[in-house]
Amino acid sequence: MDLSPNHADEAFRNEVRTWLASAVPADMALRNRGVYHPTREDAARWTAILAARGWSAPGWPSEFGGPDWSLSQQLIFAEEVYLANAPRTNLQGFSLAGPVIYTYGNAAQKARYLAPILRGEEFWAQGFSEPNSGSDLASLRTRADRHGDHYVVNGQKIWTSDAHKADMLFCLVRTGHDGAPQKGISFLLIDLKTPGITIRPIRSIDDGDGLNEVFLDNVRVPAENLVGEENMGWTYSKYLLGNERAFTAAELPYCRNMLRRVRDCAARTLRNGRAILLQGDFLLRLARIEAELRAMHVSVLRLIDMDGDLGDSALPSVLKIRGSELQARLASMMVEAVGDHGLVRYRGWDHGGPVDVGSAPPEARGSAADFYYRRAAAIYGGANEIQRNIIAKKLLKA
Amino acid sequence: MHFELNEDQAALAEGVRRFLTDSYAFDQRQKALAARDGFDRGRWQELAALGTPGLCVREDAGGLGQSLLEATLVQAELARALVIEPVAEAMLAALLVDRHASPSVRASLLPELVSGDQIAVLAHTEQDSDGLAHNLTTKAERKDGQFRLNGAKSVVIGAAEAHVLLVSALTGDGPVLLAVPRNTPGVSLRPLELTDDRWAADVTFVDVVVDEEALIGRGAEAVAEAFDLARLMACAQMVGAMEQALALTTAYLPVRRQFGQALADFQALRHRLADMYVELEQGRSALYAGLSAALFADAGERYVAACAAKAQVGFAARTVCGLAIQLHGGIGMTEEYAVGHMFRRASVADLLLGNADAQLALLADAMLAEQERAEPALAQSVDSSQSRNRAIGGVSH
Repeated sequence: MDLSPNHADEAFRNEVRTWLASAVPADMALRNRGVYHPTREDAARWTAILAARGWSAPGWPSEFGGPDWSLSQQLIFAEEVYLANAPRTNLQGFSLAGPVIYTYGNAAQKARYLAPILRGEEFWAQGFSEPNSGSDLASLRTRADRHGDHYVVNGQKIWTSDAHKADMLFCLVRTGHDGAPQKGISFLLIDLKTPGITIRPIRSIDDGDGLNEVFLDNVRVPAENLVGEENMGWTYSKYLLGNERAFTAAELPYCRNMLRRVRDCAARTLRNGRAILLQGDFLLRLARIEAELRAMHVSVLRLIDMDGDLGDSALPSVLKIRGSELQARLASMMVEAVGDHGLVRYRGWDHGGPVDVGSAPPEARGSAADFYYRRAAAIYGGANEIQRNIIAKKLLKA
Repeated sequence: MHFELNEDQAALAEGVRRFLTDSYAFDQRQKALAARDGFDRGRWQELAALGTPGLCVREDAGGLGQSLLEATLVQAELARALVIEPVAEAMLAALLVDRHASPSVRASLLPELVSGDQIAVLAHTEQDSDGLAHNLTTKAERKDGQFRLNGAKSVVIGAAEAHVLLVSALTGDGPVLLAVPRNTPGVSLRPLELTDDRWAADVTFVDVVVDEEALIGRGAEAVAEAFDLARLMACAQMVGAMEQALALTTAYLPVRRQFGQALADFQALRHRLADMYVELEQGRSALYAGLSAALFADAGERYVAACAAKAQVGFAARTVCGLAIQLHGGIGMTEEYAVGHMFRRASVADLLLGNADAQLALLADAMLAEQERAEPALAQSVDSSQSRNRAIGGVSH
């Protein structure tokens, strides 16, 4: 064990910070200062800027157009991007579809799909959950039947984040009907413009329409869009969820950035003539989060250091559980820090943009939406109760 | 950072664990406790023979030359085995003497400490000073090449067995750390038995005179550092207690049956076990964060990281060791079963040096000070009584 900080990482942080200072267009930074979801236009434009620098896919190897960064460099990059108020890019393309395609896809699929993700030209959505297959994903029923050189897909997906802004869907479908439910699942790439697909946005409690239902009615998908082998989709998706949990679950960059914002806002916002930061147990609750985040940072570094070899450790589930709890706590304290305007409906950019917030702190924009949205963190990517099952199974070996 | 133990570190932890498993097993410990007639010097010498007091002492003085990191590995093992001798305290004190004492004190005192023939412990805590160097109520007056010491320290573990007390005190020139032989006239002890079976004492100093040679640390920094390291040692002990509490619980749930099935098959209990694991792992990370700062960061960051670590680990230890009792049911409440002892050891380690809530208040003060530097307007709205000694209440989390 060696707890010395990596000085090369700090040099990297400076390089990234310096570049970001001039790379994020001012109008874009202004729109993304809050915690709203970015518009597709902003996300696409920012991806193109990153792509020109070779940085649009932080997690990808150079062979496929990534920068070959270590996981700790990726973590630093994500933090700095947050600090610079840059919009988030298409997570589903960069963290999910891309890695599955370059890991399990064939040469033609890599040639067709990777470059448009890198340049921000094609956006992806993830077709996993179904109305009756949430945490129990392996029970999914959307079926794909082979007819000549096509699959015909019928079924329904739900909670399909950003499908309404996406071009492509990577989708788990049932191709086998015998044996364990995990054994008959395949991984298909589906163009969302294909006839038979209906996307119905689901309004969420955060006033977002990022969630969607996707109906697939006799959708003809070329057989060449099958990733890897038929009936191996569960294996590939486990690799994906592993990716998702391992690194993004804790949302450390969001949390660290939010802690600073909550603190700043609460120090500036007065109630009865005194800063909210100094009222009641506000500062103590914030200190509790500070202590958790310091530990969480090391937990993330520990996971990175394991380099995929978890052994007996269930650390990814620890990050998912505690990370999602911290996100919810921080988003809730942001609402408090804003004061009376904390829960005013200041709509996001997809809905005409935030109106004037008057005398309220600028953080009033987006804080309510984010507060409601963060409830989802404990649900997606394997609900926290599922994570507890995973931990207990590892501990008890049964 | 890399977190896997290297060969030497693994061998060190394993060696200590094997010795304690063989010679300090829970039943042996309980029997020895029942038969106890004061401090068992033979047992102490066995523990010292492992190299524990001199673990972090440089090799030129006969120590093993290990870092704080190795110290925490050993401290965790000592807590797991519920060791009652002041090994952990002696280890920290020897480290401080090695770092700060004059060459002649190093030469005369260190070999005695390393061999275990003499014991030194840090006497720092005062209920009224929050452990902060500039708030110390114990005073030392420097005159004619001597220090005259007056004041009191509370709940000093190992004070009764110690030959030398490392006492923090405030002089006209700032805080100092003085090595005071325990039999110096004016030093008196009120022995206290702690609930985790260890012995401590309240120590008072009335016109205690020691000479210049006693000065082993000068300035707020030396005193603050000593206290931060003590915080981290307490964290390591709590991590050790949590590890053992989780291990005992994990072993118990599949064995105990109720309603025709193993406790391990009840999802409610499995989820609580998982909660214990989450807290333990976050606590372990908090310890590493504190250690990294103590080894590589500046004094300000070391202090903040140590407070944050002791807060995080303290809350974790309450949860983990408390749930361990709960998941055992009645047997967990008994003296004859180890799991309740883990809760007691962790509770003592949490309470001493300022419990998790107290550390949180210190962390909050540090955050506020930083915010005030960034926003001077905020400073005006803070009255001076608020930033210090903020009311410490229950914090929901």
